Amino acid sequence: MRANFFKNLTVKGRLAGFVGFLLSLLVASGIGGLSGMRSANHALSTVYRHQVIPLKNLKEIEDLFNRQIIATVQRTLSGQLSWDVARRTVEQAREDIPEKWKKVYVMDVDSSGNTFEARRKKDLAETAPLIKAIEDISQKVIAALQQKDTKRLSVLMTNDLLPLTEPLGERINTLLNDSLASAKTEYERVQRNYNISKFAFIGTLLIALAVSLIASFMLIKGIDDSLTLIRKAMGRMKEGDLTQRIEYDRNDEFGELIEGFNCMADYLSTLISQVQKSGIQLASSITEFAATTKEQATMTNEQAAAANQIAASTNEIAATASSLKDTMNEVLKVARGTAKAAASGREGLSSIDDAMGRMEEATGTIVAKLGILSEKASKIAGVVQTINKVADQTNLLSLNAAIEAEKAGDYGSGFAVVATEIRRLADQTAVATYDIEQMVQDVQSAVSSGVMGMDKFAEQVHSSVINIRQIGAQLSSMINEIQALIPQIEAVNEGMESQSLGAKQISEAISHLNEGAQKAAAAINQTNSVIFELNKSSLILQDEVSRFKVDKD
Amino acid sequence: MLLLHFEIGEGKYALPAERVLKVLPYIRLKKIPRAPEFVAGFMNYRGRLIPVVDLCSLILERPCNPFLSTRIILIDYPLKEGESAPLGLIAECVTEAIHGNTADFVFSGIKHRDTPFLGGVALNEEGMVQFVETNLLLPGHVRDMLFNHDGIEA
Repeated sequence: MRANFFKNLTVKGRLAGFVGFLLSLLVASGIGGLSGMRSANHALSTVYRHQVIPLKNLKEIEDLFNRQIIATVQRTLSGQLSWDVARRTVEQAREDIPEKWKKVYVMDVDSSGNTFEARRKKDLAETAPLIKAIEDISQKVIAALQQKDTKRLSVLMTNDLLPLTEPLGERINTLLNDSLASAKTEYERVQRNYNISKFAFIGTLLIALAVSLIASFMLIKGIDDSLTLIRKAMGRMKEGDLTQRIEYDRNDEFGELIEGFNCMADYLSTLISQVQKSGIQLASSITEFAATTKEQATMTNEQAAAANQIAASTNEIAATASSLKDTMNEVLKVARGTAKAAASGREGLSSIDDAMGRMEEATGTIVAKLGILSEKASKIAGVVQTINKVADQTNLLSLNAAIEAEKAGDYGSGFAVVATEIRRLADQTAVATYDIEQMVQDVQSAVSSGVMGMDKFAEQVHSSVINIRQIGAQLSSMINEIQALIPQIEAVNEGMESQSLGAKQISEAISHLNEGAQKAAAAINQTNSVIFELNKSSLILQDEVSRFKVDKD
Repeated sequence: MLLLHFEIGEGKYALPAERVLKVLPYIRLKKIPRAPEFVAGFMNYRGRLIPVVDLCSLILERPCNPFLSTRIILIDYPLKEGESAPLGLIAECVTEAIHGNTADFVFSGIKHRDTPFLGGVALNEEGMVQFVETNLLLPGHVRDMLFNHDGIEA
């Protein structure tokens, strides 16, 4: 509660409280001093009015009595002074003394009733009859002076005046002592008051000093703490750390200042992070831009190279076209010759065709004869096989016969010889038929290969005939085409000339294009250098911005 | 004695003619399922079914070539207790029956477990001829399978 109160107190409030406190102390001490001075002044005026002035008047009363009355009377008696002058002098004194007494009596007016004042009152009351006596005697003296009665005057002098001198002096002395004592008492009172005031004043001063020292210290400490906080944060911000925020729990001007600072830091942080992002984006855009430009440059170079190639090719085309033109002239001549040659070739081909036809017929005859031969050979083979089978059967029979004969023992021995003989004959037959078989097989294979060869030959002849006929047809169409070609070749020749001309024009156009491409390449190079500068600037910007540390979100 | 000569592949062999019942041409045979490879099948001989063994399969483990001279030698195969049954043997080049002497065949010095029927070897003008002991031709289980009709009836 109290802490909160202090926390919520603004610096202005604190300063105002402090100054107010000091001012109130000042006013209090001023009032105290003033009242002390006033009481001192009052005491002084009291002393002056109630002690000093009455004392003066008392002294004057004594003087008047002693000098103007007694001295005048003495001088009159001695004859030194005239009667009239003496009378006037005494009358004057008689008038002045009550006046003075009245003034002495004033001292009683402000009396506060203490014991001392009471004593003085008593003294004054005791003095008053003495003054009255003096007045009465003065009256008598005046009367004596008027009558110029020396005797009576001297009686008065001796009986009344002189005896009064001593009591008057005593009274006045008593009053003088009273006044002095009173004045002293007053002085002591004033001195006491002064001492009290002095201690109070010094105490107040000391308290004020202590309070102002403590308050100043606290004030300065509060301000210094807040300033240190701000200064440190500012220092870190100066180094680029924008994540810095100041924690401050007081509700004073520094709070507002720090709030403003934090707000500013937020804005700055946002701004810087945006700038950083923008920088990165810028860098990537620049990189893309640079890449694009490089690609463009490459493309332009390629374009230039292509243009050069095209120019070269076009020149070649032009050259080729002109040489082609010459060639076409040659071709024209050759085509004419070819047409003639083809015409004669067609005649030759028709005679070949006839010969081939006859050959085909002959081949057919040979194949037919060979077929017959093959058939005969097959028949022979069949016969040979039959013979072979018979021989085999014979062999088998003789073998079984030999076995049977063996089993028959001696009875079968003659039969065994026959059987062996038969088997030998059968074997010979088999061998002979085997030879024949081989021969027939040879014949058959020869015939069949001959037939095959003849077939192939016949086929070749046939296809040759067809080919020759086709060639003949092609030759005649070729001749027609060649004859039709001649005007076309002439047209081509003309075309070649115009192509040559066109190629030259293209070549010129491409050289213009090439110049354009070179200019574009130069421009791209310039762009490239600008991008390089831009990239450098972007890097510097990023570097600068990267100095700032911001919260990453 | 008379010896019937034949060939198996490049090799010449002979068996005694007294064991031969008849030499027959190579005819179509009825295959016996699940029989060993060298049992070529059954042949119909005058109304009787006679088992036939391919000697090429038995000796060279390949069937005989179907030449004209490839024939079936019908022999009298001895069984237990003096009984015998006809057995067909397929061989190549069965064309010769020549007189020879048993003493001419000498033991070759090689006896193979799977071919106990191959006997001594004789030398003549045409080369070497090996004697075939027809009694030992078939391994016991094949002989039982082909001729033991009692087991089948039981």
